[in-house]
Amino acid sequence: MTATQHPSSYALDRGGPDVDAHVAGCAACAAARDQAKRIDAQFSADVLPRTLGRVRARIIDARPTRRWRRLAWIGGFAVAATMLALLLRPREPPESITWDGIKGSAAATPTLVIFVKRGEKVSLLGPGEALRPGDALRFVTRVDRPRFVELRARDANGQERTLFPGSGVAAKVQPGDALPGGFVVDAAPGPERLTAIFGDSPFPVGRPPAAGLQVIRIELPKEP
Amino acid sequence: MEEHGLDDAYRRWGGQIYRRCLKLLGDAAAAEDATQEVFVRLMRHAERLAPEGGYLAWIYRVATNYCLNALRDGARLEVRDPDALPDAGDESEVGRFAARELSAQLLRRFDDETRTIAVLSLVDGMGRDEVAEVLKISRKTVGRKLAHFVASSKRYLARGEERS
Repeated sequence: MTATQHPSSYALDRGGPDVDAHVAGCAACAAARDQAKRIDAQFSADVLPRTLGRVRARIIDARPTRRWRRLAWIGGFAVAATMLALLLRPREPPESITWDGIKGSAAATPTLVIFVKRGEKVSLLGPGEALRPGDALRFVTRVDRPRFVELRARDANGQERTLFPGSGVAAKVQPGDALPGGFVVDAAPGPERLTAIFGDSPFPVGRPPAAGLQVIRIELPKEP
Repeated sequence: MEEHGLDDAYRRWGGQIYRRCLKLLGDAAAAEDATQEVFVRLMRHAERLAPEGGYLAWIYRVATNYCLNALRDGARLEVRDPDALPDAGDESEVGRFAARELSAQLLRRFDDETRTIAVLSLVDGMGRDEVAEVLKISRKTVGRKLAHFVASSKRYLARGEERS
């Protein structure tokens, strides 16, 4: 972006240091962003209260079928999930790492179960199975009570980014909840490294885990 | 997703979708309807989207296509002065023209991807890299389809001028 070129509306929405710096010195873009904020405020004050019920009804009405499908999907893999939890245990556990599932029962310590969609096929990520670029991963928590969770991915340079939740504080999950979102495996060399952090109360995401939080680190091999 | 999670998502993304729909449709009531539809679709696809960046690109892609279909289906015929169309090489002028003049009649003449590329490029002022990112296609395809859109639009409008 040059000094004379205005960022697009998409860039304004996405933000970032370059865009913010441009907006700070550009009356037109500052006005565009203010206008966006006004429309957002109008949505929050007027549109949202009137339409939230309808939106909720449409989504929740469609939920039972999906939920049953999901439960069947998860239940069908229960034994395999137990095995996976064992096999994904890091060889050198970091401090406070905890795993369960050894006896297949709900335990006091949390576990993360990983499913992979490859093409049209969805399956539990098998023991020792290498990921492939393009694989879409989803995560299901195994907890014995509602917990707060943050899931992070670490790239080849060791940089971590939070996959879930999007921002703010760790999100509450119920036993058996699938985490929203996931990610698609890229073609970068090296394994995929994940960190799941569990707590009994909300905690800020994107920070070093505080004392009392349970940390699970997972390294998933990837085909070259 | 729990209800409070759904509510939070609607608060977080609904305004973004509403703004997008309002810009393209120019009508608050139509934008409100479109927002609900696009948000429901977003929730159905949310689990396939990358949490970082994926939602915004998805919203631009799907909301744009949804609104263009709505415009197309409720179209009025507008044939404009072909001389008012700038050269394809001058994208800023093309953009100003397109923001005013993109008509439903014109949009009918192109496939979904081409017309979305045109709107993102010419109305929103997005660069080819940004359009490619949102639509998950190559920058080269963006350039090729945009050139096709501009050239075909000029020819079409020129013929309209001849008929009038």
